[in-house]
This record gives sequence, structure tokens and C-alpha cells, in this order.
Amino acid sequence: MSVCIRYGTRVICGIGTARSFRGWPAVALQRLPTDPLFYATLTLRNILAGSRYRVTRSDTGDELAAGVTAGTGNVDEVISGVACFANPQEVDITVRLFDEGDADPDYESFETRAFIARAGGEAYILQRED
Amino acid sequence: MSIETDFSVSAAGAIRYIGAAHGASGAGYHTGLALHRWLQTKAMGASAAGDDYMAINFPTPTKKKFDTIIELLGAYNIDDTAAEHLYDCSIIQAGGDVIYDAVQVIAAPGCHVEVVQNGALVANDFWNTIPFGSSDKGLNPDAARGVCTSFLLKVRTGGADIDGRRFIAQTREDGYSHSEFRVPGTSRGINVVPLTYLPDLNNQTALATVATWTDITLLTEGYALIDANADSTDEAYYGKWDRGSRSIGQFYERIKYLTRRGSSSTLYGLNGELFRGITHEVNVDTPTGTFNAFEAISWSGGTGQMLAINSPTAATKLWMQLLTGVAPTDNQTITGGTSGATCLVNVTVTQRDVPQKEAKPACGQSTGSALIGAYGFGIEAADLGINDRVRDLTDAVITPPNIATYTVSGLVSGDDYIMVGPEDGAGSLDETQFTLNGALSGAAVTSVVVNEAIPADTPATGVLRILRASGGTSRHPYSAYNAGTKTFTITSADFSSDGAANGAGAYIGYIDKLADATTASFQAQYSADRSLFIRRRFAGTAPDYTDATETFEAVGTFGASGGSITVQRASDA
Repeated sequence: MSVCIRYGTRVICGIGTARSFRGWPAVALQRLPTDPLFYATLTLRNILAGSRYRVTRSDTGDELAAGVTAGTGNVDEVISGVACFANPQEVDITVRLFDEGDADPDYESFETRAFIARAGGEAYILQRED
Repeated sequence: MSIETDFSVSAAGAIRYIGAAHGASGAGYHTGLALHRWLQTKAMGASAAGDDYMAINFPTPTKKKFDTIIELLGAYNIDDTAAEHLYDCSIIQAGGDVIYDAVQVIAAPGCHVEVVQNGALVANDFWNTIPFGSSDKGLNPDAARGVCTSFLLKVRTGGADIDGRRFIAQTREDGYSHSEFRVPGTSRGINVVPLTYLPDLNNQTALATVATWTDITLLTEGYALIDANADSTDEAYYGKWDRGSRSIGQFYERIKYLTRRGSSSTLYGLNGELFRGITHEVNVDTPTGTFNAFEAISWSGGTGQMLAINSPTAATKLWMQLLTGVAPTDNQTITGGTSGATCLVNVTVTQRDVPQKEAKPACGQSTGSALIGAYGFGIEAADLGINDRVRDLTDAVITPPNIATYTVSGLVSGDDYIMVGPEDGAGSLDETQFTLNGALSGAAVTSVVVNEAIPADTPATGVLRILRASGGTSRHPYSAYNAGTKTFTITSADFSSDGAANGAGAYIGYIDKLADATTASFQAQYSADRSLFIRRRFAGTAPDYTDATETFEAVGTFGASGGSITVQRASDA
């Protein structure tokens, strides 16, 4: 994405978000078709700590986010800056917590879908013991 | 080896066994649950590694319904080789189009297990491998739970069940019990199959010796009428065996030999290893054509081998061994595979238990000295003894008569004339055991009717002595008698010049001949003790007769075990 600001009598364009040019009025935003429309926050509620999650675009399968939740017990994992290419962006969420090598309970792979709008999105994770 | 080193997962979802071969050091075997846990752990990884294409970014590979039912999701699949290294689970893949179910055999260690599926032996019996370091065959045993082997059996492929997921597990080892267990349709999870694998103390003769007993033969393959209990009424069986010169115990071993694992014999058109006996008795009607005595048959939904039919052209019953599918039902058409003959099922189909279900071979159970026969298994009457039992096709238990033997020993062949006849109660020969019903005066008499009932212990063939008008008795071999009409059928004899009067005496010469060996004997059906009069006579050799001996006479008893006597020879020179 590129932003054009009016700087005095000139218009300057650069790559970045409008935020980067705070204080200067943006006169145009330019983005490539492959650029995200926006970035938003996805919250995974009730996810078991230690789970590995992966968020992908439902339409293309491209990975948008991945990681391992920290903490203990059931937690809410807040994933910031998830690139969204549609408004709202439909995403597939895969959550897995399984380790045959330890004595901790193992859980079935959990998969769900969610929508992320500019204001964010959330998905309730219900992991069932395997 | 660990499951990590024994299996690999390709990017396309192919789960393959890459470990050591069966029987080799390091050959790996894992439960389906272990496979599931390994794959799921892999699926939690951040990225794939090595030969296992599995991580968070790959589709979920498995779903566990129970610890013993694992479904491979999407494109994930195992092949038959991988299945050989898994046990104690069902593996479902391809959306349910392919299923392997678990089989767990409960039997003594070392039991060789055969699987008959869709009418044929499963050729690849990998489960009988002797694991590396073990002395007993059988993969994945669990001695504590009495499991001799556990393995997976493919029961569904290409979206179709293999013979309705039916199979028979059997064991037919030389020297051990023959046993089977039929699974009418596998269930998901572990299918427990109990087999009896114990030493058969009545089957300890070396295989190579039993192999030489070829005088044991199947005289009639198919419907056979045998009067096994000598009541003048035949019973029906699905064959008639002849034990030749062998004892009943040897006969039993020979039958086991013919139906053992690896047998090359053919019984009723089936390989002996697959022969079980009658599984179903089928009432039929509306026959067309001429059935063979035995042949392959088929109907919609199944196939079988017909072992007997009560009439090739006008059948009302047939007996068969089910091979594939399910038994026929009312009004279904049964077609002879060779003859092309047909008939319809007439309502009733009766299931019969095969002897292997009770750990007995096809002929039934041996006591060592007697046979307790299986349903419909026939042996010729002369080969049966008082302690044997046979079951005819009506499932009646038939008890053979007690055929006993009386033997006279101490004879000199060519010299002694031996007479064994009825005793009169006073220590003499009873020459009026019978009295003639009608005079005999013809020139070619073949039939002699007596007034008295012919006793049940009369030999089937023998000699009848008849008092002639001249005062002497004549000797007449008889070939048969009819107890109902009290008639003996004798060799044609001339009574025209010296007849026999009505009421003249007659008696049976149980032994009545010039000795042709050092012993002479007769067989008869024992019904009650019979007192016998024994006479041995040798008048000497012409012209001097210096070797003459005194007549020997004695009384003996034909009892339940027969009897015997040794004649004495005192010089009369």
C-alpha cells in the first residue's frame, strides 16, 4: 500500500500506511491487489495453553498467522495484525494439542472458521480430549 | 523398532511401513492407537521433517472413534504391507471404501491360524511368522491374555465388503485338534476368535506313516444308504467310507491327514484343507435336469458345494457346505454348477454345525478305539463296532451291532475237519436247531424255509446242515437269509433222490469245513450268549492211518466279545 500526502504544494507518495505520515493529510491511498485491505485482531477464546494454532485464508489457504499459546489452562489468545484481504475476511483456524511423549492429556485436532472484520474477530475453541 | 522409524508419511498422504521384514530383527508392529498418536503428534509440529510430511500445515490425518477404531482422513492411507505391521484396531480409509478389521486369536501359543475368506484360503498368512527371537509362530501374541496372534484383515475394498466381511479362522495341524471359528461379519474394532489348539492324543502316528494308509477309501461320494445298525432298514449318509485293513483309530487319523493344512486331497470336489462337512440341509422341490452326486451349486447371494442329494432327478433334500455368501432362502433357485440342474428351496433350510466347531475333524471324535461320528458321516457297516456311533442325515444316532468273532485254534491245515454248531444243552450237537417247513424233493432246491425264527446272531453267510431221508445230514452253503420269511437261500442242491421230510431237522454250521489254516473263525452279531458244540476230527492218512487222532469235542460260548477255543490232538494210532 502506498500513501500520498500533500506536503505543501507537493504530493508525496510512499509505501506505508497513512499512520506513517501522521499530521499530514492523506490525499490518496494506493494498494496492490495483493495487499491486505486492513489488519485486524483475531481472538481465540478458551484455547488450551500449549496448543499450536494456524490461521489461513479460507479462499486460498495462505497462512495468516501461526503460533503456540502460552500460559496455563484455558486462555484467550489474542492475535494482532492479522492481514485481511476481504471485509470481512473468512479464515480457517486449526488448533492442535497432542504429544504422545508426555503424560498430559491429548486433544483432537480442532478446526473451525471465523470472520474477521476491521473491528476484529473471534473464535471459540472447544478442544475435546482424544 | 519405534513407530517413528518404522513408518513414513508422504506429502500425498501415503503412510507406509519402512521397517524390517517379518521375522527379521527389528521388525516393527504397532497398534492402531500408536499410529494415531504418532501421526497426531506429528500434526502438531511446526513443520515437516525427514520422511514424514506431517505438521500443523497438513490436514488432520486421523480420527479416533475408540482406541480400536482409527479413521484415516482425506487422502491419508495405508497399504496392505503397512497393515501387516498394525494390530488391535480397525483402519478405515477412503471414506469407508477400504476397511481393515482386527482379528485376535485366542489359542495356545504356536497355533497355526488359517483364514478362509470368500471361499478360499488367504494365501498371505503373514501372522503365522515366527517373530525374531521367539520360538512360537504368531505375531503380536499376548500370553497373559491367551492371545496367540493379533493382526489386521482387509474386509472391505473398493467400496464393497469382501464376502460380507465373513471369514473362517481354522487350525488343522498334524497331531493337534482341528478347530474353526466362523465370523459371520466383522465388527469395527477387535474381532476375537477362539480356537482349540491342543495335542490330539488319538493322532500321534507319524505323518509319513499315515500317508501310506491308502486302503482307506471313500467308496461313495454323495448320498449313500447304509444299514449301520443291522435292523434291515438303511439309513442315509453323505458318503460311505471303507477303512480297509486299518483300525477305526487309524481311520480317524487318515481323515485328519486328508483334511490337514497342506493337504492335496480332494473331497467332494473341494481341497481337503477347505472341506468342513455339511453346513446346511435344504428342503427342495421343482427339480429340473439331473444333478450330479456332488457338485458346486449357486443361488442368488451365495455359493456352496453340494455333498449329497436324495435324488438326482426328483430331489426333495440336498445337503451342502456353504462356501460364500449366505444360505439360500425359500423359493430361491439353486443351480448345479456342472450339471446345470435346478431346484427351488422349499421353505426349510436347516443349519448344521460342522464338527470343527467343536474341535473335531470332519469324521467326528475318536475315543482311541471307537469313532463318535459327525453328522451325516457314513462308514460301511462291516467297519463299525459296537462302541462306534454314527449320525445319519436325519441326525439320528445309530449304534452298530456287536459283531463278534469266535476262533478255533490248533488246527492242522488239510487234515482236521472242524464243526462248530449249536449245542443242545446236554453237551451235544443240536441237530434240530430248526425244523423244515415243507419237504425238500426237487432237483435244484435253492430255498429252505424253516419253522423257527432265525436268530439275530446267525452269520450273514455260512452253512446249513439238513437231515436227509437216508438219515445223514447234508452240507449246504447259504448266501443269505430272510429273517422275516425264515428262509435260507442255499446253493442249488438236488433233493430228488434223497429228500428231506417236512419237519426234518436242520442246524447252522457256524464253522463247517476242512481246515485250510491253523485257525478257523466265524463272525456274527452278538445278541445273547450262545452255547456252541465244537468237534474236530482227523481219521488219518491212507493206507495205514497211523496218524489218526482221537475226535476232539467240547462246548464253548459265543459271547459279547466272541470267544475262542484251542482244539486238542491226541493220537489214535
